[in-house]
Amino acid sequence: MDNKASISLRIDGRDVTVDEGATILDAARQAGIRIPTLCHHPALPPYGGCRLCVVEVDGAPRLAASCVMPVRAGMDVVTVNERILETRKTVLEFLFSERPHHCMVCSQSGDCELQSLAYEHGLDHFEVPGLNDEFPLDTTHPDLVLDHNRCVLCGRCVRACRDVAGNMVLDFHNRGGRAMIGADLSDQLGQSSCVSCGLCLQVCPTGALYLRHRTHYAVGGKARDRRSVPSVCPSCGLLCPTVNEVLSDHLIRITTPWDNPGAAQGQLCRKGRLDPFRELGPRLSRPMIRNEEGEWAETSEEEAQAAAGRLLAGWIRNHGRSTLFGLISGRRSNEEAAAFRRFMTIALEGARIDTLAGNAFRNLSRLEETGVRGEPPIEAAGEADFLLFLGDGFAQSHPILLSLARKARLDHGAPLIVLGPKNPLGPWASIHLSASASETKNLLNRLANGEAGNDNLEEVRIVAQAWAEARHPLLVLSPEYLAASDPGILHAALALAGRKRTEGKDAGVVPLRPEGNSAGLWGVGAASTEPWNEPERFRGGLVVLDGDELPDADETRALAAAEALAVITPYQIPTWMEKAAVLLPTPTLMEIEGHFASYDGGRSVFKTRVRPAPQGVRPLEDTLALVEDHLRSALKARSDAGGRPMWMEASS
Amino acid sequence: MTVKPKVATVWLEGCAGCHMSFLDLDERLLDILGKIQLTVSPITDFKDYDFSETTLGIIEGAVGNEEQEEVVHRLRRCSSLVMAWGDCAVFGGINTLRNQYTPGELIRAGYIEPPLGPGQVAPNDPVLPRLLPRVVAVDQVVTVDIHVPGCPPSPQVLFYALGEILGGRRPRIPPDILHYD
Ligand code: SF4
Ligand code: SF4
Ligand code: FES
Repeated sequence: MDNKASISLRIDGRDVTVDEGATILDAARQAGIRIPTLCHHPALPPYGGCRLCVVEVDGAPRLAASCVMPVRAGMDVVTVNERILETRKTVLEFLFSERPHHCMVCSQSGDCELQSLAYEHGLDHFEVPGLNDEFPLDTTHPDLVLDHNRCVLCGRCVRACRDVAGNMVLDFHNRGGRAMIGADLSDQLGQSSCVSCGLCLQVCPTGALYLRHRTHYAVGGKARDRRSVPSVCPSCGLLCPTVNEVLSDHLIRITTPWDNPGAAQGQLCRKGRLDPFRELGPRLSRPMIRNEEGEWAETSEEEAQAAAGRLLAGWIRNHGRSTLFGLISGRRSNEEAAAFRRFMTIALEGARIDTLAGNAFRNLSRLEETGVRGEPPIEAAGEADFLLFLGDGFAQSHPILLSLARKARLDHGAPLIVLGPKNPLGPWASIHLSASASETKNLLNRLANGEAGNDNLEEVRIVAQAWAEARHPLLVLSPEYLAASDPGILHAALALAGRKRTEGKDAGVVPLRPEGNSAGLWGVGAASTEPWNEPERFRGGLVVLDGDELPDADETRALAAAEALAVITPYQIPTWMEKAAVLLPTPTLMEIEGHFASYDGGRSVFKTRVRPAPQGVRPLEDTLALVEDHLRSALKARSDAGGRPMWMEASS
Repeated sequence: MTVKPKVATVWLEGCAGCHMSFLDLDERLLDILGKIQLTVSPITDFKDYDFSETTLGIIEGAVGNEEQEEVVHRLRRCSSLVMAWGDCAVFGGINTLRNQYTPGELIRAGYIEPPLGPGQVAPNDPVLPRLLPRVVAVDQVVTVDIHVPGCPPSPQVLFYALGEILGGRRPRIPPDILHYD
């Protein structure tokens, strides 16, 4: 801790002592004296743009912006008098007059700092008439809307985007009265380099930047009517804390505390902040089975559970259990996985149990057996001086890595190298080699044995050079390579890092699990340690999904010829509906509570329920128990399915 | 018997919501009406617009045509105090949407371009008041003494403002009931 000198000053007649370097605003807040602010935000560097926070210093004729003015010993500060209040009112009037602020028709009304400040200052009318001109509305982005009509040019979004997220997408464009917030080189947001971290949404005081998914709930969506539900994001295993604003069971906004101890202060990625608003398909709120014509039709809960029971029982009677499997998504909670495991070991005993992308588990657990493992935390990516991304799936599975990579680049000039079909880092990547899996493995081997340094390709030589110079490099293995049937790239990466460690350097490999709770599910035994042996021989079973997660290559082969498949899913996902005979609804992650493990399984947290499941959608545990009952009685009853196809068995 | 102050209210370019909100005072209306003499008002529906010796002139709605402009001037001349009710009178309100266009463009878009039915003509009677070039808030035409924004202003804030005026005080709307929507 650095010892800063103390400074004493007077604020509104009170003696206040603060550390040197504090601003007048800091000192006032420390003393519990309120000074109104607008452009200032505690999580962002001070800016001094709006002048709402003016105070009188030593009776000087010119008022000072307290959010940027450092304290000086013996200062005598006055925070309220007639002149200061008049100045603040004028500042507010000018802010209102610069854009067409029609609160009466504004969906942000009631949830707007500009408006609250105007109320606080008793502005019952404006002497400077407001503008009627129309400013642009940028709706090109899939998640954000930028409505320039509401913008007060406070620059909070610019500072959040640049100084906290390190993205540098937003900035001021033009000057004076024509100044506007813009993306990149005056691009539309949708075509810009925005990575959809959504941090700007969390700081905009007026709602000029807002989440487009909430708009039609926003009318009447005033802050005071909402509930704030603290929870955690289970999407990637970093388990960032979230604050979920809910208005009559509709999700309005997701933020994170500014002291989020996770990967980056105040930050959530697209998965935590924005994805929960996306519907991954039509919601499955009632069970569905195929009718006589093989078309999907809604049915009663009882009938659908019975159909699933009959379907599985029929298959078992005719073909036994060894061609059935149960697959569960790595996104579901530990409790749900335990119920699934129970179902598989008791009701479907003898069938194969696995998680989606189960190869990842087997590839990692085999390493554990050989004692090779020992992985750095994902957060270490922000501290690395060399980052090598193997595969491009990391941007989908762990978007926070995009922020951490930029941080590593900005903070210590780390080269960012992507070996994979696509380059999710865009211009931030130092080098992108569009390499296939075998080329990637090959390159890793050649880096390890020093051959890459005299490659024909200049890019490869540069990578080799940077690798040789790196002191604490990190290799990030994307989930598609971790879940590959052949773990060759994982082994090559470990060998390369191991070689570096023998040189006394601190090298590591971060193998990214395919889904947020993969480690938790492996922990409760929902994955099999045995590889799929001839996956083509399987014909069906039970699948539990969360949304759009994908099976790995072996599982895809096992699913190819599915004849008797029941799927428990929150959404109607076409690829699964093609294969399934019965669909049973289940809550989404927002609608369940339960334990989730961190990505490496080292930590487990309880996630609270953010909103209730739709009427009639039961917890997964209940659905599994009810299907189990039906399966048992169907196995007991002797009924003859004749030679009919399996989907007809489900609907009989 | 003391003479009760005369109060006149007019409804200009607005939706009548402010007057509805006033009627929403429910039994508190009796209290107010006991203390004032309501002369011209959309509520009394007297047609003669006799504003003479008005103590308090109340205006709902923005000023958008020549007739409204004249009414505002006459009410101001005859009233000791003028109070603007609602966002339209205070800020111009929803009516200002039309300020992006000229009156000519509006008439054309409203009456000339859409195909008219048989026998229909665009309104052109000379008694119809002409549109002003822009819709404006009342205080851009005459001096306004008291502003009560809100769309509509809540019965509560109207009651507060009237109560202060009848008590001889200038209303300063407290932040918790001041609202623009
Ligand atoms: S952004 Fe705020 S101040 Fe501007 S119109 Fe909307 S509610 Fe009013
Ligand atoms: S968009 Fe919002 S945060 Fe950015 S400058 Fe405008 S008002 Fe401020
Ligand atoms: S808050 Fe200090 S200048 Fe904006």
